[in-house]
Amino acid sequence: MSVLTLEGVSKRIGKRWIVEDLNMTVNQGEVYGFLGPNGAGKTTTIRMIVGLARPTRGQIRVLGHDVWRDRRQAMSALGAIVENPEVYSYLTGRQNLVHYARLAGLEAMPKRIDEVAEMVRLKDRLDEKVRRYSLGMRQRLGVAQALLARPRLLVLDEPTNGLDPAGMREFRELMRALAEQGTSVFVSSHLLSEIQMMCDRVAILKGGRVVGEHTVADLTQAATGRVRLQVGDGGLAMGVLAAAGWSHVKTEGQALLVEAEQSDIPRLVRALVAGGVDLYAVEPQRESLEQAFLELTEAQGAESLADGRSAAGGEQGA
Amino acid sequence: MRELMRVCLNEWMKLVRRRRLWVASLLGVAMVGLFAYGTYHSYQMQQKYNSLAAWRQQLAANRQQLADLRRQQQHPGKNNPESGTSDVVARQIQEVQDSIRQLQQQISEETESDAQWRQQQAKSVREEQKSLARTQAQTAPASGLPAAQHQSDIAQTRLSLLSDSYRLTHGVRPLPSGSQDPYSMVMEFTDFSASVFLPLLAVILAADFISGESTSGTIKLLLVRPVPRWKVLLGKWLVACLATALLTAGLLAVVWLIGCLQYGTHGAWQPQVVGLSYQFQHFMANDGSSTNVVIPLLAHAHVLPMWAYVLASAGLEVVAMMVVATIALLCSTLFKSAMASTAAALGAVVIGFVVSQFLHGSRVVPLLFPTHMNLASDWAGQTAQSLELSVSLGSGLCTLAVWGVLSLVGAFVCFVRKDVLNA
Repeated sequence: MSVLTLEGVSKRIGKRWIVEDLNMTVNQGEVYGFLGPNGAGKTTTIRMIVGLARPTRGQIRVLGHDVWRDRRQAMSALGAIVENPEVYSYLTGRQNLVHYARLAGLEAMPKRIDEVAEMVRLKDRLDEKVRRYSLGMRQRLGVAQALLARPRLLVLDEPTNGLDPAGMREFRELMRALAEQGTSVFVSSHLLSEIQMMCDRVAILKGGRVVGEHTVADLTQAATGRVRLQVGDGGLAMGVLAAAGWSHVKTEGQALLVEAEQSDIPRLVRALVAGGVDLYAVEPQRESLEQAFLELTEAQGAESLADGRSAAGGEQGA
Repeated sequence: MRELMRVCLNEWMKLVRRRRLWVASLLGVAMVGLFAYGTYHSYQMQQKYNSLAAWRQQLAANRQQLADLRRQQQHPGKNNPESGTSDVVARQIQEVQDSIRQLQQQISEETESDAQWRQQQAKSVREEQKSLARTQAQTAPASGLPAAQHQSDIAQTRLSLLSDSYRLTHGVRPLPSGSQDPYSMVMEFTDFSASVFLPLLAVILAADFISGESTSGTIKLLLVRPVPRWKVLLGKWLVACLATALLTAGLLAVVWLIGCLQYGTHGAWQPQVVGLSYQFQHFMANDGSSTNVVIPLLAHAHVLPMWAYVLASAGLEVVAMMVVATIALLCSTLFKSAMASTAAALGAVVIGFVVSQFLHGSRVVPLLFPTHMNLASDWAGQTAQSLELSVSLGSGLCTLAVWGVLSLVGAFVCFVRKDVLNA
């Protein structure tokens, strides 16, 4: 059953089409990634999904309810973080949650607030002013307000910004746990590794269009035809490999990258052992999402290539 | 309905924890304090030079001076050999005697018993009635300047008859000169703070209700809720109006309380003519000089005791400030930055005020909202007098209503339709 559907969604601002003809479906219990270089229209799309902006063309439905026409039904089923979770810094964490609970018309409010605070591990500091929270704690409060009304669909824009590695892992586990309970998650991120670890399916947005919608498994399990070797003597090993017929060998630090299929590995190992090379590790290379992402966006032309590289570069630096 | 209540509760919670409310309240309290000090200062000056005690002192001094002058007259050249001729002395005696007589009369007016005052008042009312009857009996001039002046005379007499007969029937004596009372203090405060200061407070309170949330980005999480946008805005508007009303009424109440503590609670029954408007007729004489005839329009005029007038004026002031808050709310939907929206709303108030002073007498002025910030003076006819245009409470209220409704509709249309893209 689809929880979120986008049908031919386009948005024009001024004369420019920010996104064009988006079609996506998010199923129940699915974590759906939304990837794209900066300026591809991710944030605009998310704002249309949560009803902050109106699509110029097309329809967005949450549980079958149009986001603009049946706003109340659609929004009751939805929890969101849009960009940074900007909450009221002059209120305490609890007052913030009370504020959002009132807008959701929640019954048994204090109990539910304690529940979600427990879930995001914010209970001890809930009565402090948000002004004094760290970025990570604000992020958790953002997650707490999104979970408050027990949404069927979570829409998250860059949710792990500002979390430390432990926080990111916790967040990932929370998302997976929610998905197992049947909540769907629509998450955009520029952290490709995050998406790879968290999502079931991923859509890649480029220049306002979806250039690919794949399962993460499909994208990352394709063998690349490369094997990574860790050997004692690189020079010796290269000689042995060349003699055995593998001439395309690259060095990568202490390791060697050999162009070889998975089925070739036993033969390759035997050759190396017979040649007297000290062998420490043999590892077939799998395609990372980053490579897949770059390939998909590079296919769009030279201009896309530059964008894709800079997005990926920024990610590695972060 | 319960949803709207919850939205209002939210807005109130946010408002009381923001600095703006306290800045506005502190400014208000500081202004009231300064005003009370200023009033007290001028009250003391009045007491020093213009009160019963001061007059009595002056009277004694005058009598002493008179005695001195008489002595001088009888023994010329003895005390003051170089002082002028007896002519000069006689003239001085005459002057001193005049001022003694005047002072005596003032003192006797102040100290006469209620019965005496009643008689005096009845006499002056009868005289006014007589003069009114006489003027009306005259055949009115057909047209032009004399006709207008005739009309003006009748209306002026009627106007003073209104409050004089009120005093007589209700037995309300004028307050002793130089005295101060809490009711006129409230009206003075309204007069000088209504045009700029109170609107400033309303703007501070209301001008960032939405733009503040756009600036901080909280508007995104506010609007991704099942509550429809119009209801969010309605809640914000109600709370902005409530806060403005409470602040305005509170400040006026504080002024009244200070007045009661300082000067006592008298003055509640003094007459105030309301429902007054004026008509202005310009005449060009043959020699090119122009005459302006002011005719009070008394069709809806009546007298209210001061306490009722002050209470109603406070209510009117609250209404005017709520209109300012509504205009400020419109600004805060139009601009994304809290700074810009506050500046725009404040600009509207200040520029409107300056224009209404600058375009004195222009037909445009009564259509501007800053003209009607002091509705009480619309009611009592002071606005009409100072603008020299026919402005009444009804027209003032209508103008403000139009501004308020247009702003509100504008704010709703803008807020419900706009895309929140880069907040």
